[in-house]
Amino acid sequence: MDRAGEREFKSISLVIDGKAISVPEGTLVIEAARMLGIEIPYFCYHPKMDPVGACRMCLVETGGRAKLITACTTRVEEGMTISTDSISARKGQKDVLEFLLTNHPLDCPVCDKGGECPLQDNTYKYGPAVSRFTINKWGFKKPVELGPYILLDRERCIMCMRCTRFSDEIAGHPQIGVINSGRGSEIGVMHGQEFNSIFSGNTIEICPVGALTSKHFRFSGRPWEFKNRPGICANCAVGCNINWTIRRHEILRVLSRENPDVDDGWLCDRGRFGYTHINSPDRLTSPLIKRNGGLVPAGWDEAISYAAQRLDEITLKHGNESIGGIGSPTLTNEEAYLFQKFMRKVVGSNNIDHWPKGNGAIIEKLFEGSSKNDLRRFAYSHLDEADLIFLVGTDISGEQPVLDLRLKKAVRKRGARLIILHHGKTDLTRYSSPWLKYKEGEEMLPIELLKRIILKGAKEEEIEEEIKGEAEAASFSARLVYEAGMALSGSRRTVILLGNNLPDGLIHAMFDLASGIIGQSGEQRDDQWISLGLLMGHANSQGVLDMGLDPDYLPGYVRIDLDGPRARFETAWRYSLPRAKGLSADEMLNGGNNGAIRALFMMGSDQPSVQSSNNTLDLKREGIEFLLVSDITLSDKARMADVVFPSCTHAEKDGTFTNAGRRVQSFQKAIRPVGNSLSEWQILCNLAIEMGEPFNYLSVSDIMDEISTLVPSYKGINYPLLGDKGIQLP
Amino acid sequence: MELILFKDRSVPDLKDIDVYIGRGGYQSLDKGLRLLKPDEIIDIVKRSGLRGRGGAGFPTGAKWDFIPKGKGIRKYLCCNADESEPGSFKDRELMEFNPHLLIEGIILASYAIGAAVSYIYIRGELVYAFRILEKAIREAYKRGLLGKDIRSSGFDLDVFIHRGAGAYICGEETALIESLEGKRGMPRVKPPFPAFYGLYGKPTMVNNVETLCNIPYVVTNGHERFASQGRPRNTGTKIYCMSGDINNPGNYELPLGIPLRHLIYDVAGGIRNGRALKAVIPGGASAAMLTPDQVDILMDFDSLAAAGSMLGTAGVIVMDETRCMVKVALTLSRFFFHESCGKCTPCREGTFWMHEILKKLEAGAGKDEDVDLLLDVANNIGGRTICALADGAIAPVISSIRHFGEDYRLHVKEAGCPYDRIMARA
Ligand SMILES: Cc1cc2nc3c(=O)[nH]c(=O)nc-3n(C[C@H](O)[C@H](O)[C@H](O)COP(=O)(O)O)c2cc1C
Ligand code: SF4
Ligand code: SF4
Ligand code: SF4
Ligand code: FES
Repeated sequence: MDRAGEREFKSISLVIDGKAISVPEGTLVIEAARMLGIEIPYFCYHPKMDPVGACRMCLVETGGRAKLITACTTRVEEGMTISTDSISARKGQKDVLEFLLTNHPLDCPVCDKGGECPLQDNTYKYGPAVSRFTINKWGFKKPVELGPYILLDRERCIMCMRCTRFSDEIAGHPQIGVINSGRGSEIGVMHGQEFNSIFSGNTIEICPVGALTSKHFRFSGRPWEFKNRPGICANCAVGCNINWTIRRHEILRVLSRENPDVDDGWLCDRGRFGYTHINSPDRLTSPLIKRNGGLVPAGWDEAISYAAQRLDEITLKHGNESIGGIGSPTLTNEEAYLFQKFMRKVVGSNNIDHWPKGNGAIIEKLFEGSSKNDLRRFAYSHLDEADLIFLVGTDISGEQPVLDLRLKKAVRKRGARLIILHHGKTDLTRYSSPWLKYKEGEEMLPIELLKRIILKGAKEEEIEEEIKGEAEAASFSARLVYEAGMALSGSRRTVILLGNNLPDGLIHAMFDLASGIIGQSGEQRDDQWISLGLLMGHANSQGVLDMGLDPDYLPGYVRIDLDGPRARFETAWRYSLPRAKGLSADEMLNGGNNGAIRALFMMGSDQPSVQSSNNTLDLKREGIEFLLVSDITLSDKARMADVVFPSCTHAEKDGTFTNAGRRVQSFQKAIRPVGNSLSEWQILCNLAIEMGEPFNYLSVSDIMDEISTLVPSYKGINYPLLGDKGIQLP
Repeated sequence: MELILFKDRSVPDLKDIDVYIGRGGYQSLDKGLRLLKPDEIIDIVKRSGLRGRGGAGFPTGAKWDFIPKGKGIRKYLCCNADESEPGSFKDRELMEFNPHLLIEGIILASYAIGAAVSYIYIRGELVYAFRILEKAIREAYKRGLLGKDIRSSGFDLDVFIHRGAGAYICGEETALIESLEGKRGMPRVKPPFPAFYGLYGKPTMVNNVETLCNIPYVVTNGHERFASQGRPRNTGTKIYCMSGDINNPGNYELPLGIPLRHLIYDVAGGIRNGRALKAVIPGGASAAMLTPDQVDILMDFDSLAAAGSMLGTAGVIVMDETRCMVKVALTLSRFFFHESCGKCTPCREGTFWMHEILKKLEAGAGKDEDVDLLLDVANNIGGRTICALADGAIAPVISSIRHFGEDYRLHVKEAGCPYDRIMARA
């Protein structure tokens, strides 16, 4: 039986530069060489794109024949002998470089790419020492603006077409292309288009010369002055791995750092260019205390002791429950854990939550209540194997951009089927067959219909009848729902992804539907599964929920009102936890029921991802006697505060985030904290000492060790183990 | 000899469907579509020895046989009517005076490979031929010769005509396919070959106009009669496009393998103004030049290949003793520089560089080293590109240096073009 994915690949044996190797059928010669550690120079080749064979840099000799072949377009053949360094191969490579340099300006001294440029490197290694081209080079007006972030210096371009192929093949945004022809060819924006792809910045990184440069970064330094330090993008919940390009504690640029299980080597523009807040002049550099109606700088000792004193006073006067805490979903796991521990143990209040908040806890409880061999919990890599992907009420392209690329890869390169249930058009709906478009707020109807079709065997005619009654609501046809239903029940490997803000009922219904399908086909097998996920909105939305930044749940979704499970925490924390039900963020923001909240601690910054979400913070100060805020800038909420702690961004601290695919990833401090800012976990430790309940953590790794003993899904996780690729939660 | 393509050349209004049918046109369909199975047609074409007339001379039947068999797969036939090779003007004449012959050939070829849709990709400048073809296709539809169930054979075929936008490279089969798909006309890397992965990723056959015009004859008269003309492995007739310094330029249909001398001196009436022959390009701009001592060569694929040139499209350009070979190389190099699509480095940069060196040499500013450099640049391009345009671009350059090195030396020595001076004096 020929089943895709299970097919045995034939192995092909060949010899490259005298070394024998066996590789799977279909491997390109350039890749086989790489497996042997043999370098073949290239420009246009890119492992993630279809070969074009344009630059001709990868010429190698085969079987001693005079005609050289391009290693990036030739697939291995049994018994092939390849020579990458014969006299003739080396001459071919040298000649191509001579041609490439005939119009290249060689302005390396003022080129951003100089020092990290494949053209420089290949010329140095394989090129001619002198050029025989003595004719004047062509000059162009420089630079041309290609898009909002990107400038093009045309004379540096070597026409490898990586940028245009990326935009078309990978991003699905064919906005740039080659215009004119022959030697006059240049990269340009296609007629009637704009290069406004949300992935445009990747072209800068894959351009093998300095033709495409970043407006932000251009001319800001020489590569040998820089250091690249690993980090994680915090601009959404995908958690793309990045490198910070830094010089003397300043972030100059963000580059991708490929993690095959997360970002596949790509970034979106929000992530790539969303770093300017870090070294912004608006950063807070010292604590602020409100005096005579204005916020004035103060020392840390003073600010901490003043805050502690106010919190103590209010506790004495109005009780523990008059104090509330709201964290941001950009706090690290360690900070979120510590914040709720601080609130529950040091302050003695269950008024702890995070904002903005999605509906993720429901799915956690549903999974907790289901048996092991039911549904799989979603991981990004499931998209690479799925036959069918069902998106429910989510605009991945807008909310989890780089995940959109993985979806497009599944659909366009592997032919996976995409079904979208969404009220509005998104960048992905054009790949959807079908797209079930419902009226906003009426998403339950299609789900119910799907349940009837899949679980009850309803026929298309019955659905037709059903819809007739609800003609108002249904902006899709019975045939389309029926088609989607049949596809879902017939698919062998299915990924179902839910949006972050769907109503409870719908999440339950989808869970039932998915479990129902599995139930029909017996238990899950390795070759037949459904993976279900709810995609969170912000960098650590998943993590802060896991860490119990929630009035109802302790870390690991342990219900606060159940004595049994809670006891574990009471033992570990050596404290008897408050029992009163806590208030939600919304309730606290409105001062709590009947003005119960007198002091509010808002922790964590409004970093770009939070600012860009649709929710706007609606904080009412009436009734709140003391507002304590930690933030990176003087945000709206900081402006209202009585005490502001300057906190640092994730470029300046250590910690972990748990991404939308439930992968825990660690990052280290890349630059020293701006001004006197501190990370939130340090602020909490200082405040706890001042309030007489000291924590004894020396580093975030100590906090993670505690988390791993208390939260079952994080069991065994520690910093050394997290490495640079992170750990997928079970 | 028997004419296959120009049989009715003198018949007025042959482009009219009634006139064409009156002369026995479309009769091959009765045999082809009703009595023969597709594979039998392929077999006849194979045995006829017909080789592609678009330039490469690949055996047509063998090429058709590469197309995957089976009904379930969508397949396409593309008729290559982009004729842009300097020196070639045969397809144009065929389309202008005998469009139905081409349509008849397209129907048979589509039937043989199992294509239900066929495209004619016509050079944009050939407006007159385009109009004639358009009208002919319309007439053929009206007569039930195109569309559903052609001549009650159960075979359906739609033919569309697509005009190019002026790029020579779009005659290269994979660039033609890209262009038809609405993309920039740039050749694809082969393999995969169009026979497996062509238009819209489906098996596709690209054939030249003249190739297809031979098919009705082969089907009607059989492979033996076709192969009775020409020479072994180079069977049938060929349209020779005669141009240059000859008395009677034009298209002539003659068997493959006739001597070049006969073509120039008998058929085309000899060299103009009683001058002496200096050079001949036998197969369009991409073919290496021949010298007067090669004038007895036989005009067929194999003989010309053995002589280091090629039959190409049989665009024979004759040059007399007053022609400057540096200028000829310069003119042709300008064409290729202009027409390089720019996809691969050696062609994009090399055609420009060759043109620049030739400009310098022709202007008298060159040195002997420049000639060496020119030759080296040409050799560094050869065989290292995606398509054959680049190989075509170096052929006139290399052959002019090899055969007419003296012209180059004179340019360097006299710091100018000696022929300009001679012509000025005359
Ligand atoms: C640069 C270039 C231009 C070409 N132009 C033409 C053309 O105008 N017409 C044509 O029939 N073939 C042209 N060809 C050849 C085609 O690629 C192809 O081989 C031919 O159409 C096949 O048809 P045939 O087998 O009937 O000869 C060209 C090839 C190259 C490399
Ligand atoms: S701009 Fe850069 S990536 Fe794009 S074609 Fe030119 S060299 Fe290649
Ligand atoms: S997808 Fe999200 S994590 Fe990735 S680069 Fe964009 S904003 Fe950052
Ligand atoms: S050889 Fe020239 S025309 Fe052909 S693909 Fe390369 S650049 Fe284009
Ligand atoms: S890397 Fe092979 S042709 Fe460009």
